[in-house]
This record gives sequence, structure tokens and C-alpha cells, in this order.
Amino acid sequence: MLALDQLPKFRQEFSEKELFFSFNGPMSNEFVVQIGKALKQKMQLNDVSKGTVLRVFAMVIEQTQNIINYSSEKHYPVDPSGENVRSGILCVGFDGNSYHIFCGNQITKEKVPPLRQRLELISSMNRDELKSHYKEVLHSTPEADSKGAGLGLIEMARKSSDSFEFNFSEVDAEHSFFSLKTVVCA
Amino acid sequence: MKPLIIAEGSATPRIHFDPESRRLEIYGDSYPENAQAFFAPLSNWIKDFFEQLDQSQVQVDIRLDYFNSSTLKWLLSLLGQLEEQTRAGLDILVNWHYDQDNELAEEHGTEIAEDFQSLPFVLCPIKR
Repeated sequence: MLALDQLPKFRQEFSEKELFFSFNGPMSNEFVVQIGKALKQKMQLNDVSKGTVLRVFAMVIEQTQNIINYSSEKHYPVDPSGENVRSGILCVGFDGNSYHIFCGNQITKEKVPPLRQRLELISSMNRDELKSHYKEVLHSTPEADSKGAGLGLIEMARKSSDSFEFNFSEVDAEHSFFSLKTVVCA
Repeated sequence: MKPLIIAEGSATPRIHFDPESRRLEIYGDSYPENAQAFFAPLSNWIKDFFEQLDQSQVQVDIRLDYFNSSTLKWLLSLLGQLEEQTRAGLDILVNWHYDQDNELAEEHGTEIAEDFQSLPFVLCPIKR
């Protein structure tokens, strides 16, 4: 556990990394909705333009919904609503020019190669290619895909001001940690 | 036929489908976790509506500040149906409302208009 006298140092590190929000642990959709709303409100108080607020909000929702859909750390709630609850980390930072949205979650190792392939394909595409790829996937996937029809990643690449960054790190023999960063210019 | 009225939820839009005035309104944010559960009743209502429709004019007003990909999929299937009905002779108008500084909603509206050339689809920026 964090020693109490380490709290100032912990805070300092957080500030040095220019982060203003972070959450680590189990997330549900309702929880993500509330986080999104809190971030929206915080940015509106800072007088950020509506377009930027909505872009950051969209990124946070899409990245955290990915955690809820794909993290291998599942929790089975006692809650009768049976909401999907899975673990991951979300961090949001502002460097004076852009918002940086970081998300990460554990996945089983066999998921890494296909995901890496998809991400490499998407990040190699320019704006026009992304648009036509998006439309292609949009019109070809089944209508009632509650998991967003595989469109989330393309959508994020399109909304990110820079090309997005991703990383896989080893956790143990069965698991890797998947990290994704998107950027929204203020 | 009864109107379909659903209050705005924490991640779902307000729905007001009125068969009398033949106006369908979708307002708010839309990113339900289970899109199928939210949209299936809407699709069923719309199917019945067109089967029972005895006049030609229908107005659809959509204002979605933020929506996720599964919502977009549903919207496209709805607009596809509306386009078919237009080709079959109905007088349908779709208004796509958005805050003038909401670039995301504007971009989506512009792309939708490209995809449904035969459907009267009007971008309606809301000025501050």
C-alpha cells in the first residue's frame, strides 16, 4: 500500500506526467457513463470549446467500452442487472496543446497477433483510406452487433488528431497488457 | 397505433415517435452497452408504422450530440428503410440537427448525406 508520506511524491509524479484524471480497476458501462459526464463537466468549467469536449468525451467512451468488452480481467457482479464488469486503466492528460487519452487492459495472448495486425493496418492508413475502410466495415458487419461491430478502433483512429499509438507488454505466460493512446488537439 | 415515447436515459436518447403527426424524433446522446435491446423496439415500431401509414408525409428529426458505432449501424439501417420508402413514393424529410460547434456531428451528417443520395436529408446547424 502507498505510504502516507509518499502521497506528495505520488501527486508530483502525476503532475509531471501532465495527467489530470486516472482510474484503475473494475469498470461497468454505467460507471463509464458517469466518468464521461464528470470529464465533460470538468472541461466545460475550464472553458474548453464544445467540439473539443465532445471529441475527448467520445474517445474516453470508446476506449473504456473497449475495456468493458475485451479485458480478460472479468468480474461477475452480484448485481441482478448482470452488467458486464471488467478491469482496466484510464488516464487523461493535457500538455497545454492536446488532450492525451490512455487506456489499457489485460488480454489473453492468442488475441495479440490479430489485434496487432488490425491496429497496424489502421495506423498505416491516411484519412481517406480510413474513411473508406470505415464505410466498408460499417456496411458489411451484422446490424445488431452490440459490441460496436469492430468499428471502434477505426472510429478512434479517425477522431485522433495524431495517429494513435499502441503497445503490448508481457504480463505472464497466458496474458499480455494492451495499451492504446489517442490524441485530441484542443 | 400508439406513439412510442421513451425518456432520455443516462446513455440513451429521448424517443418521440408520433403516428398522428407522422413525426419521429430522436434527441440526446446514444451509446447504450446493449444496443440491440434498446433499438429492437424502435425498429419494430417503425415497421408497423410504415405498414399502417395512410398518408405520404413523414418528418424525422435527429439530434445526437454523441453516438457510438452500434448506434450508427442502427441509424444507417433506419435511413436505408427511409430511402426505400422515398423511392416507393413517400414524401420523407430527415433533419439532422447539431450544434454548429459540434464538428463530429456535422462530419457524420455530411457522410450520411453522401451515402443516401435519394433521401431528402438536411443538415440543420443550431446557432448559439
